[in-house]
Amino acid sequence: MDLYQRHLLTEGIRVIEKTAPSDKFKAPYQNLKFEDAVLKRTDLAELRYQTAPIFNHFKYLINLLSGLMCFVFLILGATSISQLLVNENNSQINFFWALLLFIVPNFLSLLLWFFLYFKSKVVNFTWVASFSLSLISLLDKLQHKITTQHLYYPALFQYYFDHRFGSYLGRSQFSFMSHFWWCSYLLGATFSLLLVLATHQVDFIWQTTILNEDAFLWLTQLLTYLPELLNISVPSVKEVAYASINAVNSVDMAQYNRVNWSNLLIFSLVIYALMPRLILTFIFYRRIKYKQKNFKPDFTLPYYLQLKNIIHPIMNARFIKDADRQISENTNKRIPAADFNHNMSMPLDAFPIAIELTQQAYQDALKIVNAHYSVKLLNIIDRESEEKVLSALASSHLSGLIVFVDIARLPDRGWLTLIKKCSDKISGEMYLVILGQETVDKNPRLFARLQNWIEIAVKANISEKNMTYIIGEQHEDNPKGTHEGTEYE
Amino acid sequence: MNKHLLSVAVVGHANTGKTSLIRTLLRDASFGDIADKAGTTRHVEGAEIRIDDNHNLVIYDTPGLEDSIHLLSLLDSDFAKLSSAGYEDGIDRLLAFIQREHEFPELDQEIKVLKALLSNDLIFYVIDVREPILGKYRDELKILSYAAKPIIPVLNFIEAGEANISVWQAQLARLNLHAFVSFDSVVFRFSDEMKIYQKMQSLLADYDLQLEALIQQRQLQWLQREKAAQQLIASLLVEVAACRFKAVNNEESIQQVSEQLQANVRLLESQTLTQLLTLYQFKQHDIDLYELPIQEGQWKLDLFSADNLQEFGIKATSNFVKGAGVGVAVDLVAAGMTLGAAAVVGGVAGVLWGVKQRYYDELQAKLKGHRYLCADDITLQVLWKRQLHLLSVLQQRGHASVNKMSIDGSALNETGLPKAWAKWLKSARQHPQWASLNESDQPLFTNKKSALIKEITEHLIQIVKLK
Repeated sequence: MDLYQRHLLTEGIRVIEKTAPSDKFKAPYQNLKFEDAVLKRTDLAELRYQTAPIFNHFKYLINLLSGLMCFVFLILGATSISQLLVNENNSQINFFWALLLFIVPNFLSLLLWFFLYFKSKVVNFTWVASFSLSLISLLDKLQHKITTQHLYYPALFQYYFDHRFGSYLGRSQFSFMSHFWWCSYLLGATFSLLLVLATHQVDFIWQTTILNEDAFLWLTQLLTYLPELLNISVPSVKEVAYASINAVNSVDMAQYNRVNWSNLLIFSLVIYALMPRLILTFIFYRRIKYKQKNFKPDFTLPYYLQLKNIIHPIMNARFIKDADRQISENTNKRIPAADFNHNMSMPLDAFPIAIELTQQAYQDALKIVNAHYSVKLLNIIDRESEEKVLSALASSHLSGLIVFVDIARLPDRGWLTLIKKCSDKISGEMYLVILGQETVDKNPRLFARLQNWIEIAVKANISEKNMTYIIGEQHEDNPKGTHEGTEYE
Repeated sequence: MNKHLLSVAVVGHANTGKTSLIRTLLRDASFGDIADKAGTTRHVEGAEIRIDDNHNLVIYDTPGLEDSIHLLSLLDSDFAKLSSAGYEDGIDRLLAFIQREHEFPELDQEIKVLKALLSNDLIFYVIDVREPILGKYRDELKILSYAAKPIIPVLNFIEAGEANISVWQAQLARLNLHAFVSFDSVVFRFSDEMKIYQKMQSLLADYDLQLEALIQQRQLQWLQREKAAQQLIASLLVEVAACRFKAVNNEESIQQVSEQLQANVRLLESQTLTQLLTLYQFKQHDIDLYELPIQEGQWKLDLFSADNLQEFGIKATSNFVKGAGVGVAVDLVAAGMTLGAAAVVGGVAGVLWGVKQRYYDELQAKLKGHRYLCADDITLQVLWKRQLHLLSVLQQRGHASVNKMSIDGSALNETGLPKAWAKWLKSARQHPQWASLNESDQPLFTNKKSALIKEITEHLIQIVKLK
């Protein structure tokens, strides 16, 4: 299967998958360029979607239609000689009529084709396409009795038709077919003419009512220019003039004239009509092949960008470099959901400390401490203040410890380490006062954070009954600064 | 793994958004675990970003530095005392500490971070700017400085912590960290991502070319994704505008067809939504979408619209040009008749053939008193504005966001309609074969449909540029 066919299958798979490329066709795509990775995926997906036989069938249909039309034109060309030029009742060939019949329409048709080909935006081939589609559909029905065998047959047919006759290949395809059919017609006519001339004796004349003799002489001289250069015997000016009046020549001369006129007619048909069409047919055949060779799916389409996310994601690979040895232990160690004590009583013989309180929270804590305790409230915000607190605790006679924290801060292992260091310095119980600015019930994030504080406090061996949550004074929810049920013993 | 370009360790205090930053850079919401609590990330996890066939960038996510005060006190006391025995600088202290890691099981997470600091080329230090500057953060920075690696402080959550940014900048400047970047893993800006790579480029001169390639690649991906999204929106508009269903002229049939139309329009929008989400690598459950309100209009037969006449070759400036195209075919068939006659016959035949093919159903419907229902202008306007709003939301959503995206009605009124709006709709409605749901047996004529989609896409690109 060549690259063009693989690209075509890729597009066929896009048609089948419509909006979302499937991620089922897994393969090691990482080391391949995107285009190669897509082709590899196409090979895999093709095993499931089976688009190649469908496309081959469409190709066959188009070739069949083209071949049938070719045959029709060949027959038409061949019969046109006997029907319109030479027949059993007529042993004379009007050279002017022969020209009009074969060369002039061919020439004008070429001009028209030229205009349409290079002025593609002026005209589109909508109706030619529609007409061709109808013919191909008809042919398909005749050829292919069951058209619904493949689930995506209609969609693939629409795509293939658009591909062959649409903007990418359409003009070349139509041009090729048009020139090819003209070739068939002219070839049929040439062979038929050769056959007629080989088996019949005809005389050549030219007849016209409205054109003058000079025009015809000029036209004939124009046609004879090339054969004369090639030393092919063609009618002289005198013989052309005789032909117009159908002058009677001697037998030898007459035969000589017939050969000359035959040479001119066959030469004109081959060189001025058939040859340009053959050349153009070949050119457009090559052009189609060239375009097919260069055919690539449009990888900027949303479908292919989605596909890129699948086969070449931004993240090439992910891996664990330094695994956590304690993870299973930590995962299994579930702390049951706990609640704080809404009516906590705090002992007066406890040492109050604050950890990482903001200015506002510190003021809230300070009001509580100043009202009930004589110890200065120290706020631990760095190593120096931590050492100061530990030192104060070591020298204090107070047995308990009251820790003020801000619910906005994240409880972490650093906090746990600090609490453990503090607990080593005291003999009594520890109390945790979590300060906040609003009730947690309305704020799921705060509620979760409160749970985090409760969990870590449990790890620090602080009893649930020794934890409370206090809303500060500034908040509008609590304008009087009520503390949720805290009492002092 | 053999071809990696450079490696970056993302470090910081717990819950500052290290994993979120990586998720956003990778556009992958499945990377690591995120939660609003400490100790969520416990492994050092790496992710490779492919730059080209030969180069990768590896980013390592690390556990949070939760106990920096304790760690620094050890490094500055126990390990500083050994300086006479050969521990001369920060790296030596860190190495000595790592060698004795078994003595400090409570610091196992921090030790992983220290190993990552020493084994990578660059450090991203992620800061949650909503937080006040505390001693533990200063200690973290001091520990990082021991590793003697280039550090890029990443100020995260800048939307919510805007008031603190200048304070953090001043603090970083005191530690000689002037090259920082701002980022928000919740409210994402592509320019911020680019600044991260550009800052890496300025700090790692040896990798300049590779990082430039990475920047180019990411910009290209971003633009391609944006354009593809705009194509999807344009395509949706064309498909929905072209979509129509035939109803017999009675209430029951109209009701039935209305429901069919609504279901199909919603299906089309849903398909586009899925595609947009996939394109931006989000999941369906990331969005909280209310149902599109759909009204039905009646499709009007416009046989003589300029657009259709052109289809038939009857263009004001080139009458029968299209017919002449058929004339070629007729020339071939006649093969010998005069060109003029063939072209005229071909032209007329072409037009007749076209009328039959294109309007047979419509004319038949007209005669039988049937009617065609299609989505009306208001529905299409709402659809259009919803998609624009969705695209804007998708482009600004970080992959670490956990809240659902919401396409509410309030934002929709702010967007005006393009000047060519009416022309687009008219063109789409005149080509029912463009709607895949209409199941037309006519050729797709994708050229013209593609041209219209391209025109709408270009308009969307202009809107983005103006923003």
